[in-house]
Amino acid sequence: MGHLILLRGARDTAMNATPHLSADDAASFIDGTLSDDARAAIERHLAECDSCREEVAISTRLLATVPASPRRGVPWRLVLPLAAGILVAVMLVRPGGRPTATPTERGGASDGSTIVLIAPAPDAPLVAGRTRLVWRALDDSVLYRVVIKDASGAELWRGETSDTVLAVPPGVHLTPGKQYVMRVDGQRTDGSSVSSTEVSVRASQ
Amino acid sequence: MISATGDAASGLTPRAGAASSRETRVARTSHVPLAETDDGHPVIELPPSLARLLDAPSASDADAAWHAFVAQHSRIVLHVCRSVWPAHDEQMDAYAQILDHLRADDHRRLREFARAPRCRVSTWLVVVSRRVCLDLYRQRYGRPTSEEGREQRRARRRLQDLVAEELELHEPATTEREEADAALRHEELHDALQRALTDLASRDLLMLKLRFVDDLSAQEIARLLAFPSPFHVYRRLNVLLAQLRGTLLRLGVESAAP
Ligand SMILES: [Zn+2]
Repeated sequence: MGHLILLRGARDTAMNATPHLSADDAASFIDGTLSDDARAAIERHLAECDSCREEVAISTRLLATVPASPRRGVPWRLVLPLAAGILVAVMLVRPGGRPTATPTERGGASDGSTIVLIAPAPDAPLVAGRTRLVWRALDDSVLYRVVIKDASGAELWRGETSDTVLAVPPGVHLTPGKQYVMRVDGQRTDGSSVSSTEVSVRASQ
Repeated sequence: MISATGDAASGLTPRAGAASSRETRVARTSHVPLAETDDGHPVIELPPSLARLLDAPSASDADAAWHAFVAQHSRIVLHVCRSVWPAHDEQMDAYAQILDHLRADDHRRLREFARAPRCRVSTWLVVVSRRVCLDLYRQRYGRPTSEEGREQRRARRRLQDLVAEELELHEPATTEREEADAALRHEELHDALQRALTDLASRDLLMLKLRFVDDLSAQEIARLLAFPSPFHVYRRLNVLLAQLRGTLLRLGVESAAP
């Protein structure tokens, strides 16, 4: 364990009569899984070593504040936009005929290689405070980012969520009638990322 | 990159022996579901996702098991990344770095952990992830994170100051003369407190630091120091503060007021 002192340059505030705690030591102390002797030895070190004590205190707090897992299934905020999409699809079906347009599912394949955008519909105007982007969840994504750029490619706004829906907030300044590009990026649990194709939308007049 | 995993040669905590030879009984004071061997070493079951990863018979099985393991623990690792890094891109860099760290050398660190797990994998991941994050921060900026800086500033606020506040020993001075006297007595008081604190048992000193420097709740301290309940912590804290006050009274420096 002594080698940790050499490697951890910033952990030099300690009184180093004993070596700093290994990750195993710190975690076992937090979990309360040590023998009495081992616990007493660590307590003695922590009483003197600010660096290790802070690590234990901060890690304890982090463990107590891990966000709860999201519920499985369709997030409730998805229900409204999806219901609206179904309504639009129904209205576009002529009696006895094929739909003239499908409002949903563009921006990529559904095999996980890209993110599939479900909303907004292709011809829907972009309205700050009203437009919602909805996409199909990746199996193993942890975070999504929505980016809106203007025609020159300059980023206008970005938002993040672990959900699969995000509204464009009212504060985003859009020039009426101007064309914008939107994209959703997803961060996978393995650290890789995946994106939707860029979708062109026009700000409402 | 730091060496974040445990060291079998740890002088502080002997490691458990081979799992196969363990005869177990339920541990008495732990708050983690576990058992212990006859020689008192804890036995913690490996989470199935980690066991599957480390025992994977083929590369493709290992790949699938890795993804499952990461999916199961990504939330906690990201939570740590967010606690250290404010910006999304940096959080994701740190996240990727942590995964690299865990995956390096055929998951060497996870294998070391799994050889004789002494704690929950989630707790271990928090400590390891935080170390990787802090290391990355120092590599990038050559200084501690704001999180560390904050903690270090707090630590620099001496324990005796914080205890003096708790004992309500600081009284406001009203005149210039009183102010000068107060400053002098303030120093006397703090020297006396410092001496009194160094006489405390390590465990008591640690408890005071966790409470007043680190701001941990009585419940968190009870868990860390294996007290039966937060009330026991409060009781002990009160005893310690009364002791300190008594020591100061004996020394005649019970107040910063002249
Ligand atoms: Zn230390």
